Amino acid sequence: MSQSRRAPRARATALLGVGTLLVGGGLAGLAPGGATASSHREAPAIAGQPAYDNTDLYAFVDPNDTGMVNIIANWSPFSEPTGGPNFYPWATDARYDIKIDNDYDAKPDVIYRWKFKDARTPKPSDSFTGNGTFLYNNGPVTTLDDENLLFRQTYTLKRIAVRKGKDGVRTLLKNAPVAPSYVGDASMPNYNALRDAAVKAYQGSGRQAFAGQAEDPFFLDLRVFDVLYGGDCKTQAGHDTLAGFNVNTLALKVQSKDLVASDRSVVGIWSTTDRKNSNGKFRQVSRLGQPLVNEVVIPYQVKDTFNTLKPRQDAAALPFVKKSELAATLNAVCGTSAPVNDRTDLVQVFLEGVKGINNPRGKERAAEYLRLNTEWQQGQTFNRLGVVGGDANGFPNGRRLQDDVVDIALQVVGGVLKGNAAQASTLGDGVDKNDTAFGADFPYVALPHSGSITKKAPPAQTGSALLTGGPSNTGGNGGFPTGQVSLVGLGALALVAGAAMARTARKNGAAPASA
Amino acid sequence: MGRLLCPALLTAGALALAAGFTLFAAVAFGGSPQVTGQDRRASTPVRPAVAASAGDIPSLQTRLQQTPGDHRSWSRLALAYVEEARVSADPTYYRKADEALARAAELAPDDALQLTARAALDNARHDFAAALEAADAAVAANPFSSLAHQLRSDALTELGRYAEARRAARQADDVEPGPSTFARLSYQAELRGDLAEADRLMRLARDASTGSAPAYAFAAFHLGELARGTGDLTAAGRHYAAALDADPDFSPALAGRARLAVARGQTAAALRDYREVVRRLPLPEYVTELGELYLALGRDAEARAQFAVAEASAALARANGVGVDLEVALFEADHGSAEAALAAAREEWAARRSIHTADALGWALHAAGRDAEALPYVRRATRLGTRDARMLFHHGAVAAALGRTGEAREQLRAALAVDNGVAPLRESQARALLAGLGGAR
Repeated sequence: MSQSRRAPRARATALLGVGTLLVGGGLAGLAPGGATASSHREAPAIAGQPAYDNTDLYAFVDPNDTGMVNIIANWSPFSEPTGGPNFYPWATDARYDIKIDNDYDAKPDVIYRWKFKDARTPKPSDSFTGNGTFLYNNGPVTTLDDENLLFRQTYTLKRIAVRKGKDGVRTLLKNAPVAPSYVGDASMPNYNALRDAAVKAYQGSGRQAFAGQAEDPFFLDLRVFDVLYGGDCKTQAGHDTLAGFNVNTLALKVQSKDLVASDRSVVGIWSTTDRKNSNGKFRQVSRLGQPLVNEVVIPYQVKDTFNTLKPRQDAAALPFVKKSELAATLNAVCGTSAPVNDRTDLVQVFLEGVKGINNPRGKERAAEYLRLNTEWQQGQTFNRLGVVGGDANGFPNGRRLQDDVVDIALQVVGGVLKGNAAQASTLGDGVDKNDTAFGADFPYVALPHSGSITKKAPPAQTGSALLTGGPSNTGGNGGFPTGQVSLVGLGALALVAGAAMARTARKNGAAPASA
Repeated sequence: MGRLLCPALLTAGALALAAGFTLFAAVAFGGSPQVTGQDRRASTPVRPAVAASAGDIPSLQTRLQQTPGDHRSWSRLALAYVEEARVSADPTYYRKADEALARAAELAPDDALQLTARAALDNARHDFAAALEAADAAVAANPFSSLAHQLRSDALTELGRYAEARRAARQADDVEPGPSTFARLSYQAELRGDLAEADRLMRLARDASTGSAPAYAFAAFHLGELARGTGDLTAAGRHYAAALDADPDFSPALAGRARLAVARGQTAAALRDYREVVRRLPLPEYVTELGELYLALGRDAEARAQFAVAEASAALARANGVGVDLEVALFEADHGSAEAALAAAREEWAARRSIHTADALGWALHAAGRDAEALPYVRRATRLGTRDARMLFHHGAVAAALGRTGEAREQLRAALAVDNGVAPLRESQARALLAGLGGAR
């Protein structure tokens, strides 16, 4: 049999496979598998293990009680509400840390550490699905210790005061319950009650902790970053890519004095995930401080490296920050005039803190973490653009849930703090707030999307462009077919093509047999 | 390999076509598939953690239609195709992977992810020297990519550089531990014959895979293989059942259950499972095993039909750029021409000097009646202490042919202790040889 006769059959096989895949993918919904965002599926090395993957960190003075600070850290990006049968557990071979540097040496002085345990029937060593059942729950779940909840997790929370010699370790909570994944309304008729029950007070004075599922509070249109891959700056934006997804949240409400050293109100905050290796030794596999560092500051090539570093080692990143790759790209693609070199303003925002707000001494050791001044800044009017918008209580002074960090980052890179304000202040992704309202009190993150709610189709494009000052786009949806429709359409097309080729192949294949 | 090529290819084509319809969930460990049963780790456990499951193909394609300049998505698409080739046993996906990688390389020749995907594809196609080169470059570009270290370890293993392979697997485990690094280290332990450590590490891999049915099935299956190798058939049965419970489509576990049935003398059950396996995955490994089972049962015509499919399947792999000399050498030595076996084995030995290529060359020399030349090779194949029934048997058979009674007896007994259902034909040959040596059990 000749090569030429074999070839069509091979192609038909491949096409058939792809057709089926495309149809399947279209019906299953939009999975952002190929996307990258603020540390959402960012580092290749941890893309497959979302339970270890830090996505976002928030730290802000409590608006209701300015003597307290809230810290919120998220894991498990892109959790689909309908993600059964196992939904989204915390890893039990990991430690989840929130680290605080309060003396500006870029080393942790206080560590809050969560470790999780499973109560699972049966154990993973017995079976994957468990006695022939795929169920997460077996009937309605009305309390956190409901027998119908077949998979439960609890955690121990410790506060570690790092000292020379022996650390001071205090257990704050033991066997505290995790709010489960929101399986659906029939299974969990009152999820709000489960959430409330999972908020645990410790040590009095309003201190609280929470671990459980929440709606992903980050909001952005990922496509603004397509400019990095040859997309043009007329890129249509304005759709919250993360709308409809959940994350796993750890939240803490602490007294400011729990974090700071005596006379220094500014602290550095970051989160890390350590995982046990094959010899039982913990290895740092994920790290997160500021948002969008991987997109805006650190070149993609060093992302994995970055995940394993300590803030103390970040001074090495200075050259990347001082000479802005993103600014150069913006200029090349969009014709902006963002300054590229000598970006000390970026160094302030991302590595050292802004003078007069969260850089108390004027010169700090460069370290990539959230810098929060735990003293409430008086007389500010809320602005989603934080410091850039004249609101000193927002990013990059810590980070609030409402802060529009994508617009802030783009405008800062565009040079809003460096004499290019008129042009830079027009930059943005067209998504100004989260798709779901945040809570009025701790843990502030919104309730997770229910597994029984059918995901809404993406809204029509709003026509907002990356550069609103750029040429207007009159091409309807700007060349972006809506995902669902095109997936199904393309899938069906490939299927038809595949089937046709399969028929041809069978005909061709019959020839040598009879020969 | 030539006699029955045309009709056989037709069968394989039809089978491959069927495989195209059957879309398995991506196995999370990913893979550099060993196209045939040269080593029992049908896919050296590799986890392309980088959005590389078959389920990612549509979203990546959509993404690339919109932003064709996104080289990372091209690399991910290539990884996803490699993964799809592995789970569907359809090697035509390698061509698609190649095309996607060409786009990525054009856009970003030095990108770590592109180099990593290249290493994955080269491993999958058994071009291990090229895979090592790509993995070295990937590690240089991104020393903190666990996957790059893992693929480097895979290439080094297949090239026979075991100490370096183990070091690379440890580096991967230090950079980012996870089921894929545990599974790889388990394989390294298995190669050294340290079955207790292999078992411990594979349990770690399984228990870390509760979020992924295919990953869980993969680890449970290998725990079954390890248990079967030590003769603990009850535990093996439990592990295979757990694997199939997690992922009923995970065919290797079905093959494991078939081997277990052979070891227990349950021929009907074995044939039922094997037929289902080859219906789903007509890989030479499984097809040859089924053929040899038919031979052992005296059903020669059915055996020959299976061997024809095995040849066709190998030809299909070769047509898609997959190197199959090692598999061809073993197959020809047992069921074809010694001359063809020797040619293929020499080819492969020139490319890489692993225990598996040493075994193939030794066995091909034995088939050609050149046992004195074969001896150093079959000895080399068992030098690590690997508890592999085939390599132990080959070593024993060559030693027996040379009248090295003690050496032969030791190797043949070891082979019988670990075979437990892989190859009933070989078992009876081993027993006959032992009887001839005056050492039957």
